[in-house]
Amino acid sequence: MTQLLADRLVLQIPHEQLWEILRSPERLARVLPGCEELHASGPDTYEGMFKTRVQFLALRARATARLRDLHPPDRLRLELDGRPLGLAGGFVVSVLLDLEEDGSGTVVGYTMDMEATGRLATFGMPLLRDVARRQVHELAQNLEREIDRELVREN
Amino acid sequence: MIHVAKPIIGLYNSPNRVSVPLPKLPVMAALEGLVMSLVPAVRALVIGGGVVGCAILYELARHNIDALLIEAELDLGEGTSKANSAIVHTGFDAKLGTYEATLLRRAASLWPAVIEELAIPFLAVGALMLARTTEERDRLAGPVTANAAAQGIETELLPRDALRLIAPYLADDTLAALSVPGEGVIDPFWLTRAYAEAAVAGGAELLLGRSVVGLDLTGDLVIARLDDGSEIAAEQVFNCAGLLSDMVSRLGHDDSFSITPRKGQFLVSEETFGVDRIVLPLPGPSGKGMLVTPIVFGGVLLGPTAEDQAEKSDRSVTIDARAQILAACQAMVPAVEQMVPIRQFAGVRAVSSTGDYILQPAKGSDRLFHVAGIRSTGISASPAIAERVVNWAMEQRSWPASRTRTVGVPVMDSPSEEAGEVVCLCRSISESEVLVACQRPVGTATLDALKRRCGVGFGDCQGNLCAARTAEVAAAVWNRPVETVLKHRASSWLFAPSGGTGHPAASRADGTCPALPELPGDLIIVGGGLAGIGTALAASRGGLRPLLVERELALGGALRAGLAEFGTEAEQGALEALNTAVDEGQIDLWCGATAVGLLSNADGWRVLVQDSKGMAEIGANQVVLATGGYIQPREHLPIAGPRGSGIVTADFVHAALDRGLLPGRRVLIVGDGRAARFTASRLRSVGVEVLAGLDRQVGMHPVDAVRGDRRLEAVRVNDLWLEVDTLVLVHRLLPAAFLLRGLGLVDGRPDQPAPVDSDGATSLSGLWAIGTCVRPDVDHVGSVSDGLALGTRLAAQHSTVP
Repeated sequence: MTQLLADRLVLQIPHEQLWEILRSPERLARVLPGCEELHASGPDTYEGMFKTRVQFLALRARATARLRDLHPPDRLRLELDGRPLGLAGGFVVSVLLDLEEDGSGTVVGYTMDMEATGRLATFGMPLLRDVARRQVHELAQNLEREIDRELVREN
Repeated sequence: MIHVAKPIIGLYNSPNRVSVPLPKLPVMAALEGLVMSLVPAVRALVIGGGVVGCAILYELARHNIDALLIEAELDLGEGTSKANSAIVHTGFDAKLGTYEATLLRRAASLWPAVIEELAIPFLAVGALMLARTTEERDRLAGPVTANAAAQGIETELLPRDALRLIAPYLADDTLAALSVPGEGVIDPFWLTRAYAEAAVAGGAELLLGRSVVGLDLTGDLVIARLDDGSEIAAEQVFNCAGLLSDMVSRLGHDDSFSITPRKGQFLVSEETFGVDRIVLPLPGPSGKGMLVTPIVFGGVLLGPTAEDQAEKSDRSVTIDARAQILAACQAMVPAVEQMVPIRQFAGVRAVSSTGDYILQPAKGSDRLFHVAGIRSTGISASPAIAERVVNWAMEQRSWPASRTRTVGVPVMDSPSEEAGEVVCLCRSISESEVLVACQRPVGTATLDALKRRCGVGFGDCQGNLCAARTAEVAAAVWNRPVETVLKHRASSWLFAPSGGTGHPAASRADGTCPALPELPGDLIIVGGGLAGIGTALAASRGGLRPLLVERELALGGALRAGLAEFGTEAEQGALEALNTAVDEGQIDLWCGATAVGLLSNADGWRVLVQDSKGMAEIGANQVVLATGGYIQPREHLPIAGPRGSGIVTADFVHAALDRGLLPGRRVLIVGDGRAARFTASRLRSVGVEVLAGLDRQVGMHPVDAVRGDRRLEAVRVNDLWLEVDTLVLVHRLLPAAFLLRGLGLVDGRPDQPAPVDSDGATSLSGLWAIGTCVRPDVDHVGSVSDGLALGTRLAAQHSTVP
């Protein structure tokens, strides 16, 4: 696997709440970038359809998402094993998340590794890395939106 | 009247444009009766379909101005726009006060919207301008930094220690570098095409394959005469003809400037050795120097040279330039020494006699406006040039001001649910992608145009493995005989007419997909050449049940059509025995299917296999790669001259002959082994004149130059020119180890064989490789016996596992 990203981001989301979102299929479906559908197909395993934009290409992929190496509420690994529609080949993305409380928010350390085969591999790692950065940015926005949504519902 | 004289010439958007009534413009009212009966008219006519012409067309469409673009070539961007460093410059080193500097600065603020609206592949990689002496460091810290600061461009001078951290690939003698984070790289083909597609979506029109040969500026409308005798009237003409813009100017009796051609040669390497940003030297007395720059879709570009020349159309490459580029780039990035370029190409920049962009009305009539001398920053400045020029015309022509519209191109959707068969092996490009490229809004008419739209043919083999199939797919979409598909320009034929009405664009027959096991199988062998046959046979005899996956419809690999005549007794016997084993159900055979990926997990290996019906994912305990190789193409070799059609490898020849297509009429073959003899024999059997094969001399390629920028005309061997229309290379095999790149076992260089130990094992458990992907040999000697030995070992190993 090739490392795409290794960085950290600060979310204004309490640590425990963030963990709850990551463990709920329904809420995970709302926050995972481009997730069109997601349903549980086994313990900590989900099947779904995702749509993403690789700059010039709107790409849809069927993927199996698995949560692994669970250390509540501090660490988990999200693995996406996907097959893009209309393109030959596939991909496996592995994201290791380390959550650390930071006041009222959470510092999320993450590393994202990818193994791309077939057509996706020929797009080149720089382009895929760029897509990954956008996805992380979108994920962070979605997570904070999810919390806002929760606050609205509670009020 | 506008004719669509040949099927390959296209008028896009409104095929019946001639029947569209003239717009009721005040300026035209007096002439309407006269003009309407003679010629169609537009408000704006753009001459030249390079990046600047297309940007102007796009800007006109955004202002809702009726516009037509005429391009002499069969595709857009066939001139300078397709062969450049693909950098979006900030202009940090542009000369203050010039049009170039001003417009580059303006363009920087326009780029984010352009990239978003037109969905263009772009990477903001940044640049490092290097200093290797204290004098150079002083220049960077002084005038270069000041020049950038005066234009508001962010830069930072990085000392050696900081460079080590962010760019460890730089030479040890690099003292400092000026970091320019705003510099980026773009796909130049995509940009030019996206401008045009968006313009067409906004109502503009294109006419490809037609030249303007006369301009009458005497009236209130410019009358442009085309090379087919037709005429078009326009209120405003934009001269965006690039290298030929001085000639267009002279059509309007304006000789106020001249354009001289400056050639820039480049090399492409798939392996980057970590180079992740633009690396360039300080400009010297001889010019800006050569750079190393990432390519948006992977790999790096090296160059360009700067060679002033007399001939504007001369895009030939030279052996000397190759050496110069490698030396200059290696001085900055030492790993360049290990790079194996897969392509050398040349572009020709338009250098103006004024030393700056020429953005001005023609002498005598402002209805012709020159947009010329856009030397090497056309891509970077294109949005700002278009904005300025169109604003000028809006005011000058009193065109009705309308709010600038957004006329972006829709982001391309996934081609379809199913990819279809894999057409291009090196890049895993499937038939559905080729079909989509054939049907883009601004049509494609040549193989090179398809390459620039979907990447087919851009990989290591440079199209030799896929061009015949691509042409077949395209011909079916375009409803033409395959023989009419051209490489890039008129007369750049790929297949010689064989008489009659031409070869129909037949669909490939379906393969032989067996019932696939749900549970992981014993063994998957990828590749049904001689090594794969041997492995499958021996493994089967030893009690395993292998699945053999072969990309072609028949077994035998590169020699499949010649085994009966040129195969050894052992090879023929192995093939026969394998067929029997398949018939008896001891070996599963899947022909017409391509392995496109290998994934491993705790359960073993999963092989992703694609055929015309879809993709299957097959589990296996053991995987053997017997993926063979491909003949080293001309683009990898130091052969001087233009890059017309007709310089191919035996892979292309056999793919053509398999389809009943003639790859040439008079052929010279380079190579002296049985693969060469087989190729010659096959060509002769269909009436092709074959000159004697050239012996390969160790360390030396016998052909050092070629002639013919459309179709090959002659090749030079030992200072002697031989007139042939086709050069067939059968001299050296390169390993097809593409599947191992994703696993990190080989890098992006084309000569990297699969790394295995003496037993054929890779460093990954359960993954093996055998045959010519390990030990490239163009004649495949020893492949069957190597395969038999590996199959026997795997079977023995299996039987000893409890």
